Amino acid sequence: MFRSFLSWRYLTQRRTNLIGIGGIFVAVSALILILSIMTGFLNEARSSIRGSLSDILVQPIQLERENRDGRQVPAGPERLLEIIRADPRVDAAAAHLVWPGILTQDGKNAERAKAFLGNSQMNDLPLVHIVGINFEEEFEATNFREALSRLPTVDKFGTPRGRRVENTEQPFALPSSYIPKSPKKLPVVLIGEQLFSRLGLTRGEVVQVATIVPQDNGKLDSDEPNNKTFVIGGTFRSGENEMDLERVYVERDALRELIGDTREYSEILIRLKDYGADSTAFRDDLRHSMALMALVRGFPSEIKTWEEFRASLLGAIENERTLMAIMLSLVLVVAGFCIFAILSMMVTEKRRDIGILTAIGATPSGIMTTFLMVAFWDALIGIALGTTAGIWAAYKIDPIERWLSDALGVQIFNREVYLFDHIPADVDPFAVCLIVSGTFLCTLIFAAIPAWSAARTDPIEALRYE
Amino acid sequence: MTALNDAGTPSAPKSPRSPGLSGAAGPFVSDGPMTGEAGLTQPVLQATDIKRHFRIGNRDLGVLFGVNMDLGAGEKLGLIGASGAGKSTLLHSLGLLDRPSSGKIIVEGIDAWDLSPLQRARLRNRRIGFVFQMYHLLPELSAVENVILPGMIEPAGLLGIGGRKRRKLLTEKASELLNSFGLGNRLKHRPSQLSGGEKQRVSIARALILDPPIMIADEPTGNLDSVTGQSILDIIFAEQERRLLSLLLVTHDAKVADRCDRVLHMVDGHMRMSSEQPDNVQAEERTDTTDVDLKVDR
Repeated sequence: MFRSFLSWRYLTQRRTNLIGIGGIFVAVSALILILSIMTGFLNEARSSIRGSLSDILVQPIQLERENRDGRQVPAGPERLLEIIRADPRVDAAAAHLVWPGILTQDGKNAERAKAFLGNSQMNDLPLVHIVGINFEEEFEATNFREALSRLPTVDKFGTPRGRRVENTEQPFALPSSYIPKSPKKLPVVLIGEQLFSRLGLTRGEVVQVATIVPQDNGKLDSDEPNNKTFVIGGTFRSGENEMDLERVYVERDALRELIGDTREYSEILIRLKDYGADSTAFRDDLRHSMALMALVRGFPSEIKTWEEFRASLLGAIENERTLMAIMLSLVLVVAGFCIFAILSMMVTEKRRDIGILTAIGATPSGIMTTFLMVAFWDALIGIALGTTAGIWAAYKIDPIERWLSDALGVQIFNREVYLFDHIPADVDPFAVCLIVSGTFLCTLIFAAIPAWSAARTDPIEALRYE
Repeated sequence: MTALNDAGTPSAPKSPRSPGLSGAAGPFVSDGPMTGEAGLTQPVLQATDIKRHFRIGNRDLGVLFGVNMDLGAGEKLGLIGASGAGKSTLLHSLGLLDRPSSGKIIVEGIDAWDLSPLQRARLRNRRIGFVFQMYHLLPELSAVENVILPGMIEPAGLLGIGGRKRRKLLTEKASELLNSFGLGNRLKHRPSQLSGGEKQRVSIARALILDPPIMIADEPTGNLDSVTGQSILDIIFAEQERRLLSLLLVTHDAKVADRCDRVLHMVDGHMRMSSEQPDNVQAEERTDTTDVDLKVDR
């Protein structure tokens, strides 16, 4: 009984304990906050990547061929889609035709577009992946509808970076702002928000999409590149920077017209009903059945889950999170040293008390427990305050960041770099439990040394101590 | 030896007297057992052939050289001696704080150093009350909290009642005790807010809170002026009378020792008995008394 009574009294009567509590508070709150932000980043990245890639991605290298108008041409995706959709584990599937291209503008923007092409610092900005889709299939298999519906982000002047399509359910409809200059109906292109903003495009504007198509023998025989004029129907925001900067969507038929009979589709995106349960088995089954049915020839197809495709990016964020956790754990060790120093000082100062307690019947283990309990109270209060503050800060990170940015006059979180309109933060209960138990353990281990030394104090020497 | 019950308390003080302790040693002894009047008291605390030496570097420094003594039940025993005579070392051994190099410490018939550290701690907690010259109060605790501290250490619980109720009972008892010592208005005061005499009264109350049969007082007036010291001694002797405590009182002052039933005189690590106590035991006198046989009882 005296252990808790006396340890609490030692705790409340000695201000040095506040330093220990403060150290634990800072370490725990910082660890929870930073890990929540890193988890938020990871979850946000996962959700945006998964949304764009769907669950399983099939990328055949050599397609089966069929006879069309007396010519052997690559077959369309219909048969493969039919087989995939017949699987009860599949929720939806969509075919993509992907081809690289260059965006240029004509008229008053022609000079600027040429300047962009020749600007070494623009890197690959006008070079894009043209993705040919069937939007109805796409709506089912990916989160394309959400990407079209998302409100555009705004730049530092408050100007929206993108212009959403006028009708999300008909994304390839010509926008009302388009004024036709010829009776020929032009196809529509949907442009990633970042690219749209960087090239200074407008909805309803006309852009040229040019590409080069190798012949079957691999030679570039054509003197002129294939090109086609498109009307910008609006922008999309997938949430993934790379995608919003390098991707444009057109209807699959329009892209096929641009590249000829070279290819009917490049990849098939599959959304499963239960990704967690079926992803690996379905991937393996599909590899097997595609090989059996000779839907593709020669080289094996790439059939991977979305996580396997983006393993390097996800791995990098995960690594960063682990690294941060390890680095911040050092703060915990510093807090542990702080407790060690405070308790060692207390044991030295309280030597006489140790002698008195022994004289009135306390055992060495009782004395050790008394000092361990001082550290326990330090840890309990520090952890309780730190956990509360860390979780609160994780939920209120945006206002805190804005307030700090205003107060310090420095932009702490650059939303333009990360392409998030908020700082993502997800509190992971498992991580919080780990931090709490780790802190307790660390504190008690550091406290055990001075507490043990207190228990070994010679009561006679201690009673003489002044 | 008396067996300890579950709580570590001796079942009954059935201490056998050591051979030669019941007055058989005769009126004059030299380094022999120093005992009270035969048949009048039962020894509750005995030291048998206690030797204590310390190793300092390569040297072996002897402090106690085969000390024998006993303290009867309800007896007031004075221990007098000059500084460095070994009083404190003996006291620490008797108080079970320091293990003698050889010899036995028997508390109520139990060889204390045969017990486990936990049992010894319980024995110290329940059977021996300490009063120190320097008071030794815990500065973080109030007067009443200092007094209840031994009760808080006792693991079995006062009256078998645990937790808050035990603390409440202890606090009530401590308040009564402090009230009877004239500290009713000082219960919540910290040691730093008390005078020397008040601190010593708190210290006495702490020693008595668990009603131990033995009290060891190590120069309880050594830090006090004569008037205050006298009042402290009055309290100690009054409580001894009232509770029939076995009191071992260490002092420099022969007048203080005069109030005891018996006085032992310690000289250079040897025990002597004296019928005529010197007013003040000076260091130079020690050599004179070392080899002199003294009368056993006063």
